[in-house]
Amino acid sequence: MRTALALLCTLLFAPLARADGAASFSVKTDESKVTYHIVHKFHKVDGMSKKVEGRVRMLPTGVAQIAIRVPVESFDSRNVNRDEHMKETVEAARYPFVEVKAMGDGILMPTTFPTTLNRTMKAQVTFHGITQTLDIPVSLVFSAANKVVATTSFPISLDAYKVERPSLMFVKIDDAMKLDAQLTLVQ
Amino acid sequence: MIARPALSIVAGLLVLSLLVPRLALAQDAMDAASGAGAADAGVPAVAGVPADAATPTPPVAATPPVPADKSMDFDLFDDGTKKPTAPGLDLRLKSPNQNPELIARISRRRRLILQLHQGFGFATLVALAATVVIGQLNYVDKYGGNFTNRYATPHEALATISTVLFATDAGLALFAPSAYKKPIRADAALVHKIMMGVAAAGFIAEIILGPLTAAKGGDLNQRSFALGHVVTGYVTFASMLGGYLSYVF
Repeated sequence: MRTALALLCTLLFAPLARADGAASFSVKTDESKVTYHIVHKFHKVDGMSKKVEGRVRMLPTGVAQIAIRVPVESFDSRNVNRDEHMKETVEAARYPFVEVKAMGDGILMPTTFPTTLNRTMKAQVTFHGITQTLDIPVSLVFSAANKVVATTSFPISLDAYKVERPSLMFVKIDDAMKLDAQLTLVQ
Repeated sequence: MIARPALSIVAGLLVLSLLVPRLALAQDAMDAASGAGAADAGVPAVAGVPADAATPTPPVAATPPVPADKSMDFDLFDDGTKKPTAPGLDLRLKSPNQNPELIARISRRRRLILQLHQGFGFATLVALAATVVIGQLNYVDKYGGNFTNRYATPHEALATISTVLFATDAGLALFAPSAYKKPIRADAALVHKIMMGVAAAGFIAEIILGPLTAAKGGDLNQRSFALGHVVTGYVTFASMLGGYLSYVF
């Protein structure tokens, strides 16, 4: 009798677990990258990371929840001294991640592929221990039912994140830093 | 005898459990079409289940809070402590026992020292440029001009200043503390180090060649030594300039 009850209870709760109707995607690390762009009077610098972690949940209501994080130490600007300087200024040991949490509306799985959706998402960008809320443009290319390529590009202010801007030859870099992300998401 | 009512209750719940999610999904579809879902009523989320699917409660008239599925309060990583997963956190600290406070202190000290390094670098470059120019004038004066010897003392003074500045600058760079490991790679930093290494060799050579040339006064081969001294000076300056430019561009 106990076994029968246990079985029935299992059956009772199993449908609840299946019924959320959400589609979950994860970032495919080897096909994803996040790049920062900074400008100094003498030159422009790009730092790229391919160690991107991320998850996306598409709810049946058309709401998409996105969470991305990148270890600060993983950015490579092709100059080890500059990378070390970057880690010092953003206090990589204390704040090891750049994190983005975004949410968008009107994002439903298309019926035909490829389909591109362009949305403005509300995003919380956490960097150097400070979280700022921004509206960011995101392009979603659904190449298949189980594969989406998301791209975004938006600027942030280093001063707003209380980052002491690095300098070279006693000239500080510009306040605006552009972040680009290209993420391949698979189910 | 107790089992039958229990089974009836469980069977009833089972039927409900099968129906409720489907009703909720149907509601979702209607909501998606109409743009107003059950979630808009502020239904609290159930772990792992979106609010709108879990409880198809009718909307409440009170001011609606932020819908559960539109709140930014979600954690898709399921690791509340934000521990990294592979490849994850590997700060490549020089010592894994260093804490963030210590690293911050080391970083501030390093920054100050490297600012001084840049300042001394500028000063060295200017002093070395002046040394080379005056040295060239001294050479021309001695071996192609009037032999007034008017540039000898300024050249020696400038050479001494340049050497002291360079040694100080090199010391600042070499002894600056570093909290993070730096891999050796073919980049501008490596070019800078190589160029400055060549410049350092040039300075050492000049420290030997300068007095040696001066001591050859009257010898037939003094001019050859002087020429070698001049050429080494140019190479030293070019290396230093190259090391400087490698960072700027």
